[in-house]
Amino acid sequence: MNLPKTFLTTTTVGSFPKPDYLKKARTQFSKKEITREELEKLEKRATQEIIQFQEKLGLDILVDGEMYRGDMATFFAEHLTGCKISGLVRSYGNRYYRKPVVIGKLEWPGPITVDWWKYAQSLTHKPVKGMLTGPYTMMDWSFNEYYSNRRDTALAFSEVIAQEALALEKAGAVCIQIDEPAVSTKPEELPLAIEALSRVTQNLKAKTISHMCYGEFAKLYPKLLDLPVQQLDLEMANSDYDMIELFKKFPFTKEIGLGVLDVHNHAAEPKETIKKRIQTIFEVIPPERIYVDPDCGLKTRTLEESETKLKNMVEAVKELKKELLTYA
Amino acid sequence: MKSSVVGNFPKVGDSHEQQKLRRGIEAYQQQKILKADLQEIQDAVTQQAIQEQINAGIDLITDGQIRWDDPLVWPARKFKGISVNGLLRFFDNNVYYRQPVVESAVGWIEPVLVHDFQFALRSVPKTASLKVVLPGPYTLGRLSKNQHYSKIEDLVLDFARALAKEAKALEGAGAKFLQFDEPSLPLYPEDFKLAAKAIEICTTPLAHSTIYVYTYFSSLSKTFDDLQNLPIHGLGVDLVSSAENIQLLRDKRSAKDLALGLVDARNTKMENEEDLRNLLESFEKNLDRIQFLNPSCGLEFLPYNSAVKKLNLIAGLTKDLVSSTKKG
Ligand SMILES: [Zn+2]
Repeated sequence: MNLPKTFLTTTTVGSFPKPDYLKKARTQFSKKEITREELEKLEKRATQEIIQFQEKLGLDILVDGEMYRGDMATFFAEHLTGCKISGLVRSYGNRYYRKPVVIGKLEWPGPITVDWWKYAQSLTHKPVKGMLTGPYTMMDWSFNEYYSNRRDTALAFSEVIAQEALALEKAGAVCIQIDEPAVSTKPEELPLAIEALSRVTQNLKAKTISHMCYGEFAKLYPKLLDLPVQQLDLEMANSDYDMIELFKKFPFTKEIGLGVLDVHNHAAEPKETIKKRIQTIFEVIPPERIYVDPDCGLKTRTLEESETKLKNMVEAVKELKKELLTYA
Repeated sequence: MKSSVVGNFPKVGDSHEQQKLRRGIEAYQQQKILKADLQEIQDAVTQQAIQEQINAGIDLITDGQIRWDDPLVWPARKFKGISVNGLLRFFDNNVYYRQPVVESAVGWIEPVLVHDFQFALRSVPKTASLKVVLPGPYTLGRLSKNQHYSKIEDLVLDFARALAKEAKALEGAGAKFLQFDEPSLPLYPEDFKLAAKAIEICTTPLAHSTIYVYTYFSSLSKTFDDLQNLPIHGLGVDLVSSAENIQLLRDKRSAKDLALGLVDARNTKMENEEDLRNLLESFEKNLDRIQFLNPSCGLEFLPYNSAVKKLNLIAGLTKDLVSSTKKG
């Protein structure tokens, strides 16, 4: 087998656990006990720490860790004109979050994530991904009190997210991830998700990735391949790689971000398990189109758990690469 | 015509006091309080949920399912043969549930909800009545991970036998109104016979309860006719998630009594009372069939304050309609 220079690239999905000092500061900030500047100082410290953490682990493509974000939809909504934030709603178990509420015409107020991306990128020579939430997901995860239907809401979100994506690219991001986890929930709305996302990606030259998780992708496949991005990042460990049979029937034509770590499980999966998971995919996708990462963001794990899990992942990839080069 | 709810009510609100359950669960998980302490908090929050329904003027209430850690499938955790696994998206919502795993033959061990029912009953004033909500056998089968049965038929029927025992125990404890939730049923019309057989198993041992089957989140266009033959008194129909359901009730007369999901329990936007009246009037063929008006599904998808507003809307609308009918 002819192996390209880069294959089995390692990365993560986006979020990392926030350190205790930052959690405390966020609570204090919400009670107006500290200023925005004081909070931001700690967010920067945490970002710096998480960049170092990823470099030390030897990951190839880094993320900023989302230290300054709460929920992935709510974070953007907090900055958009036409949005407010709801009271608490339950996500699962004892976890609660606040949802965006669209109350007026959506408008882009200027760059939202660009300064953070620039800051994170200034701390490393490895590429840092730009991270956005996709328009379909923003629509699906918001309460809507303004637009008359779901399509209008999704397309309104795509206008503002497109501007943010262009601003990230202009700042130098070579890789932009636009997450659409909600896509898996309503197969009949996949065309809308594609239409909305294409308005975001059509003018981008950067590598585009879309992450999705915890849904029945089988129902969407192979139509899912029409999403206008170069890479689909899929949660696979949690669902026991049941997509592989489908990939045999309908070839997976994009790059895959292959989830190999179950992020809702405390236990670290052994290196051998991870290797096997990756090897299973070789049957259907060549190594140069495989990016290896956890199932989803790691924000619900502890840093120690994340470290052990990722260490095993990086080790597994290292060994596999060696084996591939030996037998190539 | 009476007002009702579909099932759950928000467990936490935005005030410090309204978040005591969230703190309690956290403290219990960290072994800082005892199980009895947590139960005391659950009791208090249950009473609060009941009080909110009573204050709004809801006629047929639930206990708010405050103790249900997962939506819908929670009671199945106490059945024989069941363990819990990873998180799965709950239908098309940005809400997750821990998937029941069927490891061996499913069976009923002891009452699951009887204690909760008896507790709630003590808090309900004479002006209102209490219903008990159970997951439907077919939906339980669909939402579980089957690692034991070779056919889903056998799993669903065993769930039905276990639920029948639970329903009988609830009736024995004084329950007069039982509701089975079957949101999966309309999604698999090809399995209708199986679902019907399972529901029949659940209802056969019941001597004098009023029995409703609720479907929500989807269109009944493929199952409406068949649903008329179930051995139940009434059907819960979601008019918000599917416009097809509105058309169905305009076109066809229901042989069953109806509970109409009239206000959107998944969006904070408040409906206009006049629009709702007009909508109801359009169901000419079924006016005498409409026994209950309720939200489209459980209220836990909404922030606390919005849930209360929706309760007030439904109760107020029902009262106005009843008094105008009396006058007319
Ligand atoms: Zn994810």
